[in-house]
Amino acid sequence: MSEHENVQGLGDPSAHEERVRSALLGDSSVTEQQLNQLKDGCAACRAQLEEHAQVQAFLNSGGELERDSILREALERDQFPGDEQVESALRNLLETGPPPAAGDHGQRFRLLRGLMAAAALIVALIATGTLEKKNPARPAATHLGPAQKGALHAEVSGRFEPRGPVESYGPIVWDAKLPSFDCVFICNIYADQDGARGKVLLWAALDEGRWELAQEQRTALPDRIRVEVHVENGSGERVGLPFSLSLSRSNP
Amino acid sequence: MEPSVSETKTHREDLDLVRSVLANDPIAVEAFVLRMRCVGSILKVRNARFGRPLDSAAMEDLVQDTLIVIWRKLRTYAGRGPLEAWAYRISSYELFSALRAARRLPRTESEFDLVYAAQIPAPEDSPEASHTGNRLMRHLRGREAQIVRLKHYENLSFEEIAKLLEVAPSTAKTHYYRAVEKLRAILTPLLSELGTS
Repeated sequence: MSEHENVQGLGDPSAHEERVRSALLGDSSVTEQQLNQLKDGCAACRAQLEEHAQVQAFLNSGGELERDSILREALERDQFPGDEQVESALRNLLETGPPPAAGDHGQRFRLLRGLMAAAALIVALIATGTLEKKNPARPAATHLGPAQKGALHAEVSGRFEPRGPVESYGPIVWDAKLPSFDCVFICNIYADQDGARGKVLLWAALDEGRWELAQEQRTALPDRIRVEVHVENGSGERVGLPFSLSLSRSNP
Repeated sequence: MEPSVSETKTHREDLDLVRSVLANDPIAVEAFVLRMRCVGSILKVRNARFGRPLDSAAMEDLVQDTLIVIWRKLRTYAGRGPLEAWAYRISSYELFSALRAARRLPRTESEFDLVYAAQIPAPEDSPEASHTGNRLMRHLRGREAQIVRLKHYENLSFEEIAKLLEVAPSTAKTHYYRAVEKLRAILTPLLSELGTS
């Protein structure tokens, strides 16, 4: 087996292996720069990473082939007994209205939702004994809350970006895992300026820890905002506690 | 691999369709309903390939549950793949959840091998049978095979796999890493064998 070469910041072979493992598993703790550094500096790791990618490509392709074959069979059959019930069930669902929505401004529903979110947060904070007296002069801190089973923050590894003053509002990114498949992240953006504080400006339902705002949305946001993320389960109920951060823009 | 121009265009059209559905456009709703009719068919084909572990009543419930999840997650469709592929992934997870609830999801290594062996095999001369990915899969057994299959063939995330198998995500990742390391070791000999045959 080839020996690992010396790469800055990676003293022993186990550190190389750990980084290769993280890259294979898609762990977000390894940045692209660190990965390139490893590939450039260590031939053994580069070979290993390339072989991993090759194995994964073959497996992905095998999976695609199988899914295509099943999809083709499903579509070719055209009409299974009961397909008309599928259509009518879906129509009925869609007629009940759209699911939790990413949105624009000021709808009554949204405001009601914001109020409910605030009330739920207060109840949750009282229940867990973490409600604290806020000093209005102090900027709001990121609130992760105490660990509890099923809570969103149980798997938050700390990253929730961007923070503090920024030049412009980039993508909002957080490291957290959804507790189950039917859950979604609900990300709310509130106004954080006098006169409008607490008003929900935008919100989205997402199944990954990233929200990339459109250019026009970023431009329309005020210079001080608060971002809050929580998880809702398949019944629309909150799971765990939310976490939030405050942002200000220095270069609108 | 970079998506081709036509694929990108198709997915963007699918994304536009979903956006129109969310805006309650009746024409889009109708088109969407027709596209999603495949959900019932996918589940039925898969249940048949597994030897019909779920009876018709359980299948009816499964189709309904899957449609509800699709509706709830509709806004999260990001157009990264065709709408049917997105629905397929949701259907897979719901199918495995239903099998688990019915205690038919394999929990041990040998049960898993039996369930997948019960799948109607692809004909010997089919592209599926000779595909390198499938040849690689034959070198895996037990938990490792299970996790690699759920990851690459069912297209599930580690969190979803862990939930289905009732293990910690870190455990699922450890098995996956070991499996890929095993396959890495046999890939070169396998490729040269295929190249010389």
